[in-house]
Amino acid sequence: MLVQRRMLGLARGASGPMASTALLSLLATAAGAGQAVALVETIRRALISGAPDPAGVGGPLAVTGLFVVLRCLLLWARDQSANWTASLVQARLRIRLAERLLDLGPGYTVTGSAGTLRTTIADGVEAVRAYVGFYLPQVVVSVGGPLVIVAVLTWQDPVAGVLAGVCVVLVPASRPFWRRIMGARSQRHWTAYENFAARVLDALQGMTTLKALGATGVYGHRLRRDALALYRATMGDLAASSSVYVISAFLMTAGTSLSVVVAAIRHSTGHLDAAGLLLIAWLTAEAFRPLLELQNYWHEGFHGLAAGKGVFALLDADAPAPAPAAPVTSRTADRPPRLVLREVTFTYPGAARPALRDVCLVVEPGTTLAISGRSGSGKSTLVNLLQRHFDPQTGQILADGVDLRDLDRDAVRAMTAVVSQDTHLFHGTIAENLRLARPDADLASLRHAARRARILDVVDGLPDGFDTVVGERGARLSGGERQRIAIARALLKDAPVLILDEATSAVDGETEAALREALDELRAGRTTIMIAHRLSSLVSADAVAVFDGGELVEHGSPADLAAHAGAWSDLVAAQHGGAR
Amino acid sequence: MTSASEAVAAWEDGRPASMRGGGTKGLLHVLAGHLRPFGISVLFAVVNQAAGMAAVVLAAAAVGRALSGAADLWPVFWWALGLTALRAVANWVESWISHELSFRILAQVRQWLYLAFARIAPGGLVRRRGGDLVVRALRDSESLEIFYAHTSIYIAAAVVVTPAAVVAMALIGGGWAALALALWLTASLALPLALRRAGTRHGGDLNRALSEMNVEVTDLVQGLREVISFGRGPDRLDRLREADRRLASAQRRQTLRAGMETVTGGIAVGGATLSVLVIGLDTGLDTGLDNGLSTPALLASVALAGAAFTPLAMLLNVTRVWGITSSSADRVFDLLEEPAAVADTGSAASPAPTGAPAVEFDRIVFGYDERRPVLHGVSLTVPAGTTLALAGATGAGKSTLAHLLLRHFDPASGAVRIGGTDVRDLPVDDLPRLVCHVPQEAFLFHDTLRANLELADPEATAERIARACDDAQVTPFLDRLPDGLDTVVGERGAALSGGERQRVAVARALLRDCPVLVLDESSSQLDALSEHEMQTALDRVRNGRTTLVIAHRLSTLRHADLVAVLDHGRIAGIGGHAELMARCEPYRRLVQAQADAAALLAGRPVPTTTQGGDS
Repeated sequence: MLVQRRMLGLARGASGPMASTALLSLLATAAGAGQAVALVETIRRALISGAPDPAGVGGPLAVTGLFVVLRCLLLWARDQSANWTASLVQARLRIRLAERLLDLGPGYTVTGSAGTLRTTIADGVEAVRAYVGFYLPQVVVSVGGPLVIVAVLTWQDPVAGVLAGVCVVLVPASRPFWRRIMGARSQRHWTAYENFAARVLDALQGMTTLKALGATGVYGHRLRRDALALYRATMGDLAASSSVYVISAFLMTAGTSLSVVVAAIRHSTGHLDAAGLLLIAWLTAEAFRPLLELQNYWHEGFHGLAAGKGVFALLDADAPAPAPAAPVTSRTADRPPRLVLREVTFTYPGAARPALRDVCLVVEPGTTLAISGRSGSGKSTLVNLLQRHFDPQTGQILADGVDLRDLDRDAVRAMTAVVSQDTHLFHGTIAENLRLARPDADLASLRHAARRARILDVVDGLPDGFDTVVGERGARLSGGERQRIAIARALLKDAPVLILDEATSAVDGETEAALREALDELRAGRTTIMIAHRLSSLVSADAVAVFDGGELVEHGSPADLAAHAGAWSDLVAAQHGGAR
Repeated sequence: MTSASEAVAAWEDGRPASMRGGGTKGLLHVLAGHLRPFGISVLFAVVNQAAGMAAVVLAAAAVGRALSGAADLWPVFWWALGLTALRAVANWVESWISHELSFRILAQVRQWLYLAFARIAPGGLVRRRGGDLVVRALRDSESLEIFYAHTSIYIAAAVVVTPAAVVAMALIGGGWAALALALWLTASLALPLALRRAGTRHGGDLNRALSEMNVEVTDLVQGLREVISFGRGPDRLDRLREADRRLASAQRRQTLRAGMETVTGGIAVGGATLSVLVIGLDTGLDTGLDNGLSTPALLASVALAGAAFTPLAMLLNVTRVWGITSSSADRVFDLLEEPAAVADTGSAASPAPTGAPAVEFDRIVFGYDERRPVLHGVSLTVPAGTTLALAGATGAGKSTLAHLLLRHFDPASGAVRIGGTDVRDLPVDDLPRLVCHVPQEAFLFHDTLRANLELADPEATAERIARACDDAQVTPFLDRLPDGLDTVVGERGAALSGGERQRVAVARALLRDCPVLVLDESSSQLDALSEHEMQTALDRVRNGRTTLVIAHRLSTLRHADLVAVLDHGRIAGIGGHAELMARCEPYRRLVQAQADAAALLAGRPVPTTTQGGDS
């Protein structure tokens, strides 16, 4: 059977509604049986009692009608209950997955595909919803209801009853066999679907690039390859499932009509009385009705099971930076801490070489540290570690002497405000994006922050000002404009440690100079860590740390470093060389 | 059955010339292209349903004959067995062909969707949300499957089988029974038809709620870093809860209505069975059983009364979600009809491939939004084979000018010419062969580095790729990657840093080997040392090409043959760097900031004279 213990676990908290769905469904089956019995009684009185009289028929006829209505109402109630279960499961599971994602943090998404995650949390949950809400209760009914009816049939006539019984048992019994074929195929279907979804997402986001490269044709070809894989996987499903349709359709028809014909033959040979024959004739179909309904939910069954894999993978993933068991709350939140890196080594999951190696560094409270180095030298990794997106494999990062791992994770993240080079703007208005940093900020503070981030004029020039909806990934704003929104966001957050990770890389020189004043103001009373390629952004730092290949190669005041031959003076010379 | 090669051919089929008139029309229009498999499916669906109905009626008749005292019923058994086998086979053929058909059409629709994206990008894509578009492409096209695999077949089959059942009823149970059956059949259709509008509305609500939920999920996944950094997790969860609540409420309304239809259907079946029974008994009572209906005929007609609803029940099962299907179809076909941002009507030959052409902007007026013009009559010429650097503050219109050259948009008035040919006169597909773009944010696809490079030139040999990697300084960081060129670069190229991604973009440009190059702030994210190397590489790329550079960096400006200064959508000056420093105030202001920093770095006092930039 397509039932897994772990999938049942997903229904926890919705077991009441699920049980009521199953119960309603069983009652509907019972009402169906009642309807058949009453109908048979009507016919029996009319045909067999010898003297058919309308008065005698009227009673069972009315009872039949009542059962018809009752059964319909029960089915209606069952559908509502099933939907209720499904909605409960859906909301709970989606929130559970989202909470899990928040717990895993951005470190997890660096290694996984965001497209796959999206599919799991959005579409995967929908598939599980149908599995738990509709499929599972139906399984219960399809096992229980038909067996009771078959017992009644067998009691009337063993031969016809056993024939119907064999068919009833064989329909679901062919399922494990089916599942073996379908399980692998369904997984393949789901994988192909995920790949295709990821490709389409990719194609959409990169369509501008594709057009610029004149590669829409080439990429379209790759997309076609995926669509064909999806098509083939799906056709594989169908080849198998369609062939099982033969068996299943045969068993259903044989069960409902052949066993009735056999009962008729048994009557003609004197083994079965007329009442029994009529009962078998109308009751047999009721035994198959739940099975027929189960068939309708079959897709939900295997899609749910396949989607469950992605769901469980997310639920089971190891957090790159797990929450501490007993957080230390020693330091006050609004004062910049003394940051100490002690022999920090970190390797990204799956990477061959460490991104940071044996880094020792002290950042005194209230000072500005400039970090420089070539692309890939480990600068951004340091920022990730300071925010605890990851934990170092060896060594420690201490804030006022406490290991970041022992602090409350929210406190660590509240400690820093980060402006990164690639900022995500959420779907919503500019005001909503700014209020992400401080939800209770009034318009005056938004305007103040925007003015300091030199973005106010741009915002005021937009059709709806702060209420303008920014496009997907902030596409309606230029890179420099988005960076300035991010700076305004950081200003509003007002955290004791400010991290500027290439915060102004896409801002033009004039604006950058103006921003520098704003950032200088901001640095007062704060620890600032600046990463920039443009050395002009770094010159006012108290200290400079130069990284190369994951190692800290130079550390000191800019003036001292510039005076000696070394990495920093090379960088200065290179920039000058470029400028000359 | 269709072979894979036929499926490929189907993929490459063009979209029908016109599919206007909304989703339903579009659905039928597409179906019209596949009449043969559709006809076969319908035929087998009819056989399947008729055989099923006949088996039930035959069994009931057998019961009647047994009750009337008939002895040899074995022939009936063999008939019933034959019908059962026939039904099983017909069922298989029907479901196989109809699913095959529907998935083939789906593959086709997805291809069209992709082409639609390609047509409307990038102008049209900006207006829509990516998450929303993915829902359209996948869920909406997926839900079309129901139409092609089930709905369309069941409609056609029901149209044939249901009247046939009424005729059979007239033959077995008499005219009154047939009339009663026909009335109940009509009644079972009445409510769903009456609720059709509500169904469409509920379907639309449900789709909207689903796509809002998807947008929330997409925002959460892609903005995870920001969500966590600002401690906004609880907020995002609340929003997701709210989206799920709206979704649940849409699902509840849908289920309530669908439940009503189930109830009507069930009551109609019961009503028909009882009516036929009463009519049959009535007939029997009036004339005596021997002259009226025989017992087999009575029982057969009662069984038929129930079985006659099967085709309609199957149909209603799928039309219950018709609202969802039709609103999905509306959205899909809407997107397919979305007009391109620029009209592809040109047919001029590209300028001769010998040498780089000149690029000319002639009195360009343009705004993304009519209320907010960006360029006010810009005229500018980049002489063949030279480099022109565009300088100007953010929002001055530099990127817009580049967009127009790349024909992401067309100017409201004026013209962009390459080698004297208006870009609007060129076929849209020819332009990428002439102009290559290294964008501000290089986009890498979730694929291997090699595949990302090959997008620029699918025929590139290994040596060419290696040379491009060398020239663009990609080779140095290749060693760091676990599988070199075959490393899968993460989502949006996340496995590479910004600078590295940009170097990949430059390598692509080298592979493209176009006579005209647009560099959009191409070195702004590189560190000083890399930039120095990059400068050398770019000099090599620019060599012999007409290049438009958008740059704020002093070094870039100095290296350019010409600098054009844009100020609020107008040209403030054109000339060499030194010349502009001497006579163009906006340019001087722009350069001053950079120059100050350069002086600071070298430990010299910041010059206060206007010549500072040259020191």
